[in-house]
Amino acid sequence: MYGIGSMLRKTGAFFMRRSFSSDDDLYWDIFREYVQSLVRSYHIGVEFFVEGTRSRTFKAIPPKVGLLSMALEPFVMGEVGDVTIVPVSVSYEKVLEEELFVYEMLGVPKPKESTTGLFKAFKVVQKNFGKMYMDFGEPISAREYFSGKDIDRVSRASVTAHVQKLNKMEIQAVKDLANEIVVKQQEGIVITTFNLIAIYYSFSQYVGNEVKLAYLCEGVEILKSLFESLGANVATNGKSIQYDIMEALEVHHNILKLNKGTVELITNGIDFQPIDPKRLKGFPLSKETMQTAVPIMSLQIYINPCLFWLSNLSYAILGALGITHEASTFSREVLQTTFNELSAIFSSEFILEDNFDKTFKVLIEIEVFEQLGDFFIFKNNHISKVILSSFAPFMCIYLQLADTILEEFPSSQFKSQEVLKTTQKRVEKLLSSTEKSYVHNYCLALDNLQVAFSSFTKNDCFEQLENGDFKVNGGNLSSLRQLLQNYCQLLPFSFQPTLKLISKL
Amino acid sequence: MANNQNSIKNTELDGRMSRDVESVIPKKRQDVLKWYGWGYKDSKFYVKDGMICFQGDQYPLEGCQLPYFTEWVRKKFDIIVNDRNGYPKMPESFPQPTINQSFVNAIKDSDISLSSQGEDRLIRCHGQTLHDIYLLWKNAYQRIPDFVVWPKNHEEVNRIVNLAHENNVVLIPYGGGTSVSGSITCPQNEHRMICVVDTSQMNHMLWLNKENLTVCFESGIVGQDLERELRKLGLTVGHEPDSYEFSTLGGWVATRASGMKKNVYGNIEDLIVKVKMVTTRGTLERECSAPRVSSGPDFNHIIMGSEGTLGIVTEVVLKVRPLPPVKRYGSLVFPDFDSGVRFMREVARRRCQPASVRLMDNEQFEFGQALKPIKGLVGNLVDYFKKAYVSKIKGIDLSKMCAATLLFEGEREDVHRQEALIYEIAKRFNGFPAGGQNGERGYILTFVIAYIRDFALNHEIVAESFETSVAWDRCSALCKNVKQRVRDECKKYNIDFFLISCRVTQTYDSGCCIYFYFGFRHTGLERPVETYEAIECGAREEILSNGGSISHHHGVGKLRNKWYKKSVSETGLRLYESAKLELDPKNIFALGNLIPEETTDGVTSKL
Repeated sequence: MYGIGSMLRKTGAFFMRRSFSSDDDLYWDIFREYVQSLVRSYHIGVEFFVEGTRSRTFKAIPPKVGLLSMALEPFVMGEVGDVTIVPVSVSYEKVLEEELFVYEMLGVPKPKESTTGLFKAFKVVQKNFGKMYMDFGEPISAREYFSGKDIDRVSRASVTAHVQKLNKMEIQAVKDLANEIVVKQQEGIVITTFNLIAIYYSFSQYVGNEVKLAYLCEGVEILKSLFESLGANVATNGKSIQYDIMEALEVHHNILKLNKGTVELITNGIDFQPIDPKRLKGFPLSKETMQTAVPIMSLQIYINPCLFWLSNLSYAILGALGITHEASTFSREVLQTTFNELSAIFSSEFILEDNFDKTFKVLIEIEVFEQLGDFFIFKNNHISKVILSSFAPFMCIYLQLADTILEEFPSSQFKSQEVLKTTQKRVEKLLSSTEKSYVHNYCLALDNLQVAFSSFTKNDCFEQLENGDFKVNGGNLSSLRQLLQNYCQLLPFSFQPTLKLISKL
Repeated sequence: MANNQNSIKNTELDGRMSRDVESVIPKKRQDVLKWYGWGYKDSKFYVKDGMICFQGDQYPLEGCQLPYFTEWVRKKFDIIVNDRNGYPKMPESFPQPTINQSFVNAIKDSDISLSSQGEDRLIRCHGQTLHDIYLLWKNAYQRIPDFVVWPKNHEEVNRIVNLAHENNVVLIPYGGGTSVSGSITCPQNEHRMICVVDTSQMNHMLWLNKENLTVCFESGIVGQDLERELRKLGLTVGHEPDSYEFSTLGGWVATRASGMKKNVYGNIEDLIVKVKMVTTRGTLERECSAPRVSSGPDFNHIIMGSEGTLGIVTEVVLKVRPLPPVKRYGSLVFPDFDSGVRFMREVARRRCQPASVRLMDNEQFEFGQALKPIKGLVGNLVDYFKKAYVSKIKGIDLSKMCAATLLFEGEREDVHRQEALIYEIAKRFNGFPAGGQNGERGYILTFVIAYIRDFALNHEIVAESFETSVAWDRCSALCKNVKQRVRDECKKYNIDFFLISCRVTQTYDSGCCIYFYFGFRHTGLERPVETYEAIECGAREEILSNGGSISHHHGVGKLRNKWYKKSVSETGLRLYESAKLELDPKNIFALGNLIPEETTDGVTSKL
């Protein structure tokens, strides 16, 4: 990008290669020295994105620790007394690349970045993208964070700093810190009215309710108070909910529109240009599939940031659903086991602190659980269904991926890329069929399928062969599929009505 | 376990900072070094056509005929040298090894390099004392090590020590094998399995800090390798004991070594910033690398001089210095030894020592002159005029005069200033400069002289050196009395042909180091080495009675352990014993150094 690089450099920005795997020692040593000089001597902080890349799903992604550990080394090695980390959360009411991201998730590659492209983009900025929020979290002191952890600065300081590197335990501590930062960033994110609309609109579709404006207002109000009780920043003004909704719909007019008092999803607004199938990263989906998937996924990515607050609740609700399917009450301990089980399955998906106690307390407050002596009963009330509806698409993704692997690659070797493509192909077929199945348009998203794939790897469902390919490992994957299927069967709604409704439009 | 805790605390080093050092001494050391004596295989004194010659392309004396030396030997020992070859042949069978199977299996499982071959065991059963070499020549060792391991790094040493401790196997740390105190000589009465830990494969330069001028080496680095690598970077440690071609850093630490240039660079205790020693109770190491610490007794001093009895030294942080831009030699002649000593004392009083200053007595001066290679007519004429100048003009008695050699290192102006001052002081004690060449030869010969021992042994002459340190006020008397004692002892044993000579090799504020050479022709004597030891023992008694120390830098080892208690007092001995009991409760480092072995059973030894 002509001229842009030097312009950015003059502002104090510096460039960094994306891949740490390269064996260019000289580059990384100079880079490290540069970063550490900034940490040691520069009077202004260094700002960087701990996730290291864009999240197309609007969900937090696992942080990268390369740059962070470089920046923390001077502290560990005793060259600086402390490093202060300020988690900064930036929330956009509408993200510039929204449409681009959705297409990318479906496998359409992003256009190449260029200076002319940048100038063209200035025109795009003229449009109304709503508000942007910045939240500066409580500063984290590395010294306080690491005190009492496996970091021995004293013995580090007895050896020359530049000949040392972090050991496994220190890297783990930095990873934990990075996760903590991402958690704090998510806490700082502002939940906008459109996030609430997206949750409630999707829920209504699953249960087959028409979305009148007044009905939506009620839903947004319920969700606003839920999020506030969880501790989130909510942008919606309680005194002018309807006005806020109208304003949000204005900003997101490409996704939802108000038609005679009813809120509707826009499915014909897409100018779909044919793409060379060779450039596609996924399975070549049909135009019809894309036309339905793009708006539904656009809506889903506005639900996603809220899952930081809702997934722990969902694990507990799902757990309670499962237990009370066979018994009328449950004990806290049994629920915790199920909670942990689900939390482990989705641990790659959401960056959370799995705080069961807090989750349990909230669910009692919002009357999803009720105490009865030593036991609890599960009240499958409205709010519990809404919460579950936000999470359910992720269960479908994991289930569909497990299905695909077990049906298509039961005993053969496979690469992750071909599994993802095959899953897209199967999902496309299921979406157009009238048979009852647990499938959602979001199951087409490559990014999410990739995360699910990694999660299966982490949970020992696969073994990785020497050539890098994978192979199903024992019965872990079948039991996982069975578990997901059982939970899906218990869902108090289905995704099929959505599709019918949309096909009617 | 303590060791686990230690490994957790270990700071991780960036492996890329570590440099591989290609050693002049290969893993199979017998390929390059003599197995039956000192130094390189291809370097030796030999006789050709009735004349002593020297070969060895590492040394400036390479290919020289030595007629003066031949003549000196004839006069001194009444020997016509011949080309007889009494050098031993490698034995074909070796003492049966004692094998602790569970230890051997564990070592084999852990990927540590090992050998159980007789040759590898035999060549590591000894150091370089006369006693060691004589036994070797006679193939008289009853007990040699049973096993040799070559750890690659600190972790592997840790594993070996843990395994040995678990299985009650004796460990002998082995570096360059140059010990002259019997410290690494295989204990002959040990019933347990004996495993030699050869540190030669841990010789990396782990890191260098140019800001602090510190460097971290693994303990197996050989002196000349260490200096060569640092010189490439314009640096030097400057530690040059006479053995530095072959001895290792770990050995220097374990014996409290001293180097020729200690006046500029310091002795090993001055050079060490940090040192790591693996014991059966974990790794002993001072945490901080600050230059001086007030924090109770300094445990670096438990490690230095431990002579392999407490653990194995694995890594050492040393000070380095920039290479000096100027290096100059000089020499002085004094009418007699006492004037020389007074000169040395004055230099020490003024604290103006050059990098090295050594004073040799008349015997050694003559000996040094004898080692001059053959010269052309011009050379001889120059020598003639020099001699004439010394005796006629300066009026010096050639049979009493002695010489000092000098080495100056530093910036040009500093060297000039030092030279001027030294010559001015010398003048006050009737000394005068005798040229740089004489000085230079003195230092160069240092490394060659070590080869004479084997040549002598081949000609029925047993010879060895011993050393001590003493306060200034007793220096002259000690030299005189010890020499007289040796003469008396020789008379007692009817020894007619012998050499006893001494030199002052180091100076300190309050005293100096004295180095003795003693050798005699043993033709007709039944037990030459025992006789030698008896005479040396008498000399040591005399040294101690004259205020001298048990050792300045060779260490105590087994040779001098009977005087250790006297040297450190009963209380001191008990303190050492409790340290030993704490760090090595099973006595797996059963070398018998410092404290004489009292029982033969390792487990229930006196500890």
